[in-house]
Amino acid sequence: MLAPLNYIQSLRFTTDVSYFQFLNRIHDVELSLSSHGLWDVPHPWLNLFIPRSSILEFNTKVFKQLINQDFSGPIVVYPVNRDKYVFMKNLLQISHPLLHFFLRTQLLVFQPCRFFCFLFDSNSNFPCRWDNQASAVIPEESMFYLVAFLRNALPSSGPSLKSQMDDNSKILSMCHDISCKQYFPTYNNPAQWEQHFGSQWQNFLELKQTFDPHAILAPGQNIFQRNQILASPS
Amino acid sequence: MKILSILYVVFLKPGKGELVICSPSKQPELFFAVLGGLGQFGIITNARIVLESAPQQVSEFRPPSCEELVGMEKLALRSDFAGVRNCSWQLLTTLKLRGTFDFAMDSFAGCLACQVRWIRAIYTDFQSFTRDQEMLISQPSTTETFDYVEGFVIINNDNPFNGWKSVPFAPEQLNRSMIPEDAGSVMYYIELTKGFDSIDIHAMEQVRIIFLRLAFSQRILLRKNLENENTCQHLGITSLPTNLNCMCTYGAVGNPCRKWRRCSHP
Repeated sequence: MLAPLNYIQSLRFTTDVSYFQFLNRIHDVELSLSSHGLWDVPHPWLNLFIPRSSILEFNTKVFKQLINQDFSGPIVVYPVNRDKYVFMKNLLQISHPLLHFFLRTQLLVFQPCRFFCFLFDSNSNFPCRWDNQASAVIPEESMFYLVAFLRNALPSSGPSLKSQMDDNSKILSMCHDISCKQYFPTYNNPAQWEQHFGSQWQNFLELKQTFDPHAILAPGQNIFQRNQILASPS
Repeated sequence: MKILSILYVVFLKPGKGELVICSPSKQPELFFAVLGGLGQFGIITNARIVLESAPQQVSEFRPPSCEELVGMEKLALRSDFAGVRNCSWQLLTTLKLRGTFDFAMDSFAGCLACQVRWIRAIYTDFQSFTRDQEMLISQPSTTETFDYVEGFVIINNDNPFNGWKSVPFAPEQLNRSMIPEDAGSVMYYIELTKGFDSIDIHAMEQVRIIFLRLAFSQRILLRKNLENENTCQHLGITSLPTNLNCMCTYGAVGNPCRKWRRCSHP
């Protein structure tokens, strides 16, 4: 299965571990970082979905130019098939905090590809037509990349939290040109949210009208104001 | 063991007030709206999650037959150095077969339960890296492929957390001289796993038996050195009285099941 891959032949590393050990691998990282006092530090993380057509440009402009020698923390990059991803990603944006935390942890710990294959190969109850009905926002293309800058702001060395957050904004401003979507965005006004949702905005509005017409829930997201009278869907 | 697979049903209190149970087939509009819905449509009070079976345990290890034990002994006798011959002969003749087997099992019980082959491979060229990743996630479901595919960007320095040192499973497997000259400021690596239960079981079994034989005779050698000549403080790391390549355990006596690596002794 490795034969078609074009990695540098002398730079392949292999180990055999128990299944549990693999699933639990982040725990080992946690222990190692904790012992160096590097776990309970601020994490100015940035998660992006980049359309496949823009990933080479992203590499040139961000990975090669904006990532310095003192960048601290891992950078994750892998492609996802849109049809296999939609359902899983939706799970990760569920608003219930505990469930959300749990699922978010699973994203790091479990095996995305295995999930997707399991879900869509063996379960025909979840066809791709749900793409347009779900609330989550991902790029339009059939394949896109998840890029995660999982930085830590170290207390004593390396770039400050402020400068890391500035870096994040720099990356984000780059992204406007290549129509990527931020995962877990924070916006301050409905106009920005409307831009984030793009073509899904109208649908999102209609769902809100149907299920929470008085805009009671989650006003803190700054999408709708509580008790705002929502315009009837056209 | 079961692992979380997919959310299946949510019990939801929508903004309108009543408690609703929804799933992909029951009230699907609300079910999907709430996924990625940023808390705008309801409060999830309960959720049901489908679990997926973990890869099966590798079946109980079968004790080697008499023929296999004789095979191990022959293997040991073929070795070029006296230590193995004397030691293994001594052990095989003084210990009962069952006891010998337990001795081997003691060393390798952990390894025999290994179930995931975990691979990382470095790229300097981003296009090759993404092309390979895309190929790996686009395989038809009928093709045997990896269970897990991810990728990382690493900085071209020796930082243990995100430089090239973070890639190998044992730090000494990679040093600066091995980094290609054309590598830029960043490099990339692909991370893959494959559960053993879905690889060709027969092939794995063969590997396992061969491995056991090798490990077995070597272990005897190490034990002899340790007990009789008192030259090894830690199994196999140093002080083997031989100039041959050998498989060495990587760990202390009390914790023998570690990675195996090939090492050479001057």
